[in-house]
Amino acid sequence: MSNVIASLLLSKGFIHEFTVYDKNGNVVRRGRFYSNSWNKNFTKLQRVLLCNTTEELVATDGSTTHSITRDYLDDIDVKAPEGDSRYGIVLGEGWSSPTINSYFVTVPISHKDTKLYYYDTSVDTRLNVADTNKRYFTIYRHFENRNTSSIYVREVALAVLIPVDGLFFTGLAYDSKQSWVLRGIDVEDVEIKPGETIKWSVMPLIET
Amino acid sequence: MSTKIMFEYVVRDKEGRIIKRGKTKGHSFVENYGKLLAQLFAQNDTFKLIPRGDTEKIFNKSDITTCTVVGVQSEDTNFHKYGIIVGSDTTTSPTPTQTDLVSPIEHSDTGLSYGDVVVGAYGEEDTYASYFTFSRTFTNNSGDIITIGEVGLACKLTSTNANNPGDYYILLARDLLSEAVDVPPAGSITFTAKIWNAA
Repeated sequence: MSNVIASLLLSKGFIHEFTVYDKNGNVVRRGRFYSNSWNKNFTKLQRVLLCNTTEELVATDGSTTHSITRDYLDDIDVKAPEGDSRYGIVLGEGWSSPTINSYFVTVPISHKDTKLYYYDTSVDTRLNVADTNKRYFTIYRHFENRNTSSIYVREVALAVLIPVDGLFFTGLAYDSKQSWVLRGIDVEDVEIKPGETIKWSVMPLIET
Repeated sequence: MSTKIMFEYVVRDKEGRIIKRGKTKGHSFVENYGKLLAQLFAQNDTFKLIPRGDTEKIFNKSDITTCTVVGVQSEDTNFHKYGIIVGSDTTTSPTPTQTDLVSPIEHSDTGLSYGDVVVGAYGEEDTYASYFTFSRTFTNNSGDIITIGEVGLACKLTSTNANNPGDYYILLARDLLSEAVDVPPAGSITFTAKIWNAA
């Protein structure tokens, strides 16, 4: 079995969950699947947190880097405000195989008042029970399709803002429809029809 | 793959010869670590954790910048209360709600002596997994065999919250060894913690 397939089948790092609502707020579709999204930025951020090291993180553009020390740990911001699709949970319409070098969606569906409207990203720090030995907290965001045609989501990224020398956006996690499909989930493109709103939740798992 | 931590160990006799190796499975984090990561993203004004052998304490947002597992004797007389820690329990399975080792073996110059935590390198196994390591050596200065059955990871956090200012030691992970390990007199055991993520 290749490393790719083995990694996908064994992984249970995140739960991704989406709920699609119609114009009247009724639930019309749901999906839930496991992901294995963390990239090397997140590993380095944990190293800063625990070992007081200085690490080079890669920006969402995939090339810019910046040194991060623990002095920045209380400035990391995932809670992107309404209308800002540079960080927080960001949706895309391209896709690629997730690796530790996947820093952002490949084809972002950017915020537009007349297309996909981004509300703010929020964090619920309560630890929920996934099963006896798993807990998770929840990062979530609502998106509204204000276009006249459907929008198809094929990838998702989790990115944060770190205020170093201006604004530094760095991605920590990425997942795409390739791994959704490989997990045997009946989800390929996630369709958001005109007038519908989707709530996308990213739930990091802690396992004992 | 989720964030995982695995403990590998090497036991040496008094001559420094390796007499045993082993490792844990890698599903060892407890709720405190989930809360710490959640705070990293949420950046709430305050957050709560349960220190070792204590009740829940409040930390201010900026206190997360004091987090460390790198206990070094020359810098901190309490260096042995955090970093990699060990205990003698051999039966209690890990659960997410644990906040301390079941039977901690405390540092003693004439018993099990805790060394400094040494930070290892960041590394990549392939394009799908990245990791970092740190380690600690424990030396048996007693005249008897010391048996280790559990291992954990704790950090030090300094609270500036007016309700409970001070240094606290927070258990982040705990695991049982698959079989208890004897450290012979004048021998040592080195644990290396490996934290890794996969894409």
